[in-house]
Amino acid sequence: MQIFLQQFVNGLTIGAGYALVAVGFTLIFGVLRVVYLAHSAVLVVGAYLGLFALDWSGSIPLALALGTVGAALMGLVVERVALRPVAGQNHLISLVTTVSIATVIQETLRLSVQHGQPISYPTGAAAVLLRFHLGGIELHLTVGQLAVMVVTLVLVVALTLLVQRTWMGRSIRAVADNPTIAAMLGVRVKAVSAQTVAVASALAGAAGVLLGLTLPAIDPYVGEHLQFKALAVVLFGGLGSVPGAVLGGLLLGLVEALAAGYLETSYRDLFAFAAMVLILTFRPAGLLGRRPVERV
Amino acid sequence: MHDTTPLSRLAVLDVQGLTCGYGRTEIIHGVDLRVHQGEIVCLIGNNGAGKSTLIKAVIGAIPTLKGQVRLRGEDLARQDMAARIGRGIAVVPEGRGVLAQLSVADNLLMGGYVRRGAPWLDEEMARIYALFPILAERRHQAAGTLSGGEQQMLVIGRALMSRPDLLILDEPSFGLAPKIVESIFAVIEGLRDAGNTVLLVEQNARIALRVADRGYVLASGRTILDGPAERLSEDTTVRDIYLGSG
Ligand SMILES: Nc1ncnc2c1ncn2[C@@H]1O[C@H](COP(=O)(O)OP(=O)(O)OP(=O)(O)O)[C@@H](O)[C@H]1O
Ligand SMILES: [Mg+2]
Repeated sequence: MQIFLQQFVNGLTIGAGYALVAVGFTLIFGVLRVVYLAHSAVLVVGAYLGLFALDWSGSIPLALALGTVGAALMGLVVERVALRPVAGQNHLISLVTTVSIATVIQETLRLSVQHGQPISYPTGAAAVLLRFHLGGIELHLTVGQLAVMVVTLVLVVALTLLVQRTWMGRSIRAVADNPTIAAMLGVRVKAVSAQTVAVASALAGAAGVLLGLTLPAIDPYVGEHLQFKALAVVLFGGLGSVPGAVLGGLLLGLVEALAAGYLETSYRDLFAFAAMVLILTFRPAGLLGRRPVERV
Repeated sequence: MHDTTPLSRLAVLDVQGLTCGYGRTEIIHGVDLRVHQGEIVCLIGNNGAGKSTLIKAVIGAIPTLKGQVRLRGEDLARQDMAARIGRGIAVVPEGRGVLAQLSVADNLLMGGYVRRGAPWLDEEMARIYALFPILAERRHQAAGTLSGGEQQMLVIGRALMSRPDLLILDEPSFGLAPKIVESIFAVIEGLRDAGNTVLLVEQNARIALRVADRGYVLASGRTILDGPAERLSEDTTVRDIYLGSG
C-alpha cells in the first residue's frame, strides 16, 4: 500500500507533464490538421527561460510566467515560419518544416547555453521534501512535484474554460469542426490557427518549467521523449479531445510509475505502450474519442 | 403587394458586371443583380448554372475578376470574407453546413461571432428559439445529430444571429421533404415581413417564385431573365424549362 500510494503520486506528477504537452498537440491537430513536431523545442525554450528567471529571481511563479509567455511567442514564430507557408499541403511537408525549425531552435540553445551541457534548475524551494501522513502511511513529495500538480490542474481548468466559455475558444472549436463554415461566419481562420498554436505552446512552456523543477537537469533535447509519448497519448485519448489528452496523459504517467514501482524501472516504457496498444485495439477512436459525426 | 423595381429604392446589394470563376475557368460572365431593402429576390437556374459561384464571389470566398459588389453603396472589392460578413452579410451555404460537433446553442452563438460583445445577442438568441422552438429543446445537443429539417432551421437561425442587412440562402429546400420545405419557406416569408432582406438561391423555381418579390434566372453564368416574380412565373421560357409545366 505504501509503494502503491507513493508511486501513484509520482505517476500523477509524471502524467501531468504528459497531459500538458498532449493537450497542446490535440488542440493543434484539431484546428490545423497538421503533423506538428516542434512542440518539444518550444517546451525547451520555456524550460530554459524558466531556468534563467529562477537563477535571476529565485521565484517559481516568475519562472512559470516567463516560460509560458516566452513559449507562446516562440509558438507564434513557429506557426508563421513553419506552418502558415505550407498550409493545406501534404502532411509530410509540415512534418519536415516543424522538425526543421525544432532542430534550429534546439541547436541554437545547444550552441549558446553552456555548450548544451545538462543544467540543473537551482535547487532551492523546489527540492524541499514534504511529508504527508495518510492513515499511517507516509508519502514523500517535493515542492516541485506539488507545483506540477497544482499548476497543471489550474492550467487544465483555465484551458477548459477558455475553450468552452470564451469567443476565442468557440472560434477555435468552430475551426476545428469545419474551417470553411467557420470562415463563412466571419472567423479569420489563419488568426485562429495562430492563437491555437500560441495557447498550445504556452502550455508546453509551462510543462518545460515544471519539468525543470522535477528533473535532475535539462538539456535542449529533454522534450523529445515527452513529445513522443504525448503523441501516443493524443491518439490514445482520442484525436482532438482535450479531456482525452488530460486523462490519457495522467493514465500513462500512472501506468509508468506503477510499473516502475513494482517491476524493474526498465520495463516502464514497455508497460506504458503495451497499455496504449491494448486500449487502441478495443477503442480505435481512443479513450474519449468520438466517431466523427456525419457532415451533412 | 410589394413595390418592386424603382431605382430610387436603396439597394442593399448591388452587383454590377460581375465576372468570376475558379482559377482560369470563368463561370459567371458579367452578371447584374440588385436586392432592395425588405424584399426577397430569388436567383433560379439549373444545376451548374453558377448560382453558388455567384454567391461565393459576393461574400468574398472567391475573387471577383471583373465588376463590382456593393453593400448599401459601399464597394466591397477590398473587403475579405470576414470583413464582408462583419459588414452585415450572413450566408447559409449550400448543403447547410452546421458545425456538427458543436451544440445547437454554440452554433447559434457562432452566428453572432461578428457581433460578439453586442448587448443584444442573448435577446436575438431568445427570438430564434421562439421562432424555432425545436432548437430550444435541442440546445445542448450536437448539431450533427439533428434531422435535416432541424439543421436547416438551425443554420437559418444562426444566420439571423448577427442581425444581418442581407441574408443569403443557398438552396434551403435541398434534400428536404415537401412538408418541411413548406414550413421553411413560410419562415422565410415571415422574415421578409419582419423587414429582413433576402437573396434566395433555388433550383426549386416553383416555390422560390411563390415567395419572392423579384427574381433572376441564371443560365450558363448569365442572367437571361429578370423581373417581378409573378411575371417570371408566367413567362413561357420559365414555365417550360424551370417550372416543367404548360
Ligand atoms: N470549387 C470549384 N472548382 C472548380 N469548378 C467549380 C467549383 N465549384 C463549382 N464549379 C463549377 O462551376 C459551375 C457552376 O457551379 P455552381 O456550384 O455555381 O452551380 P449551381 O448553379 O450552384 O448549381 P446547383 O444548383 O447544382 O447547386 C459548375 O460547372 C461547377 O462544376
Ligand atoms: Mg449551388
